[in-house]
Amino acid sequence: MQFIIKMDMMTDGEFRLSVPFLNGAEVVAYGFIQEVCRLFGVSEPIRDEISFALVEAVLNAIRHSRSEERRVYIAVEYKNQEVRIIVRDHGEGFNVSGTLTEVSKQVDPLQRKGWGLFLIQSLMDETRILSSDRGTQITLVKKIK
Amino acid sequence: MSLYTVQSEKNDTMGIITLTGYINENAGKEMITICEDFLNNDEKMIVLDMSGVHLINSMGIASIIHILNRIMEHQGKLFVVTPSEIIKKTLQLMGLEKYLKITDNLAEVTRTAASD
Repeated sequence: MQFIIKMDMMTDGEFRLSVPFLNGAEVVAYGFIQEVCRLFGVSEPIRDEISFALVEAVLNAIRHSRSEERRVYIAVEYKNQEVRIIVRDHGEGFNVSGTLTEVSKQVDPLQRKGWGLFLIQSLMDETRILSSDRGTQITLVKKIK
Repeated sequence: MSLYTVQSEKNDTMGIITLTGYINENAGKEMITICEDFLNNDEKMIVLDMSGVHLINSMGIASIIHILNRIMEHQGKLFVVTPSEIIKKTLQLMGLEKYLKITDNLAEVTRTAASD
């Protein structure tokens, strides 16, 4: 089995990675974002929060996107004291507002579902999701203090 | 190559599940199986030693919640020992701190359990 990682640094300071839908792909994304954030000088606690959120975003794409292409695309840049990450897939999309409403209604942590999205929103300073039948893009922003 | 390990042991006062690596869905399933064994053998004080865990995903956390629910059904207690700062924060964000106890070491588990 060939595990292809495509990674490059764009000349404007943006790092990109694409990973296939394979078991453990999110671990590769975790290692990637840890190293990129280290390069940006992000402190360990913030780096870990970003990394955990990215793992969930990648897993959501793998589990739910139903992308025929079976790849997740990640772009990271550091600008204006913020780490900005975009996670994209070319899947079928989903009902964003319905899902966010569902997640926000669940109060009891022992009964909660949709942990991934909840964690992403809790760990990042901004989360924006755009989804259509051509795919989903989630933008994660973390301010670096 | 496995991304995690899950080991268990039992002493006079508690059942201990020692985890290392990346706690994903598969690690979670193993945790649940071990926990059920403990509960079936009337061991209600269960410890998750997370000192060797560097990453957990939402499915791993869901497994912890499942274990927590089962332990609470048996009027037992769940302790989480030495989680990293990010894992501790994740458990707090999920609102789980009011249901389980986070401690710095196993000795503190014994002291905490004795004082409850």
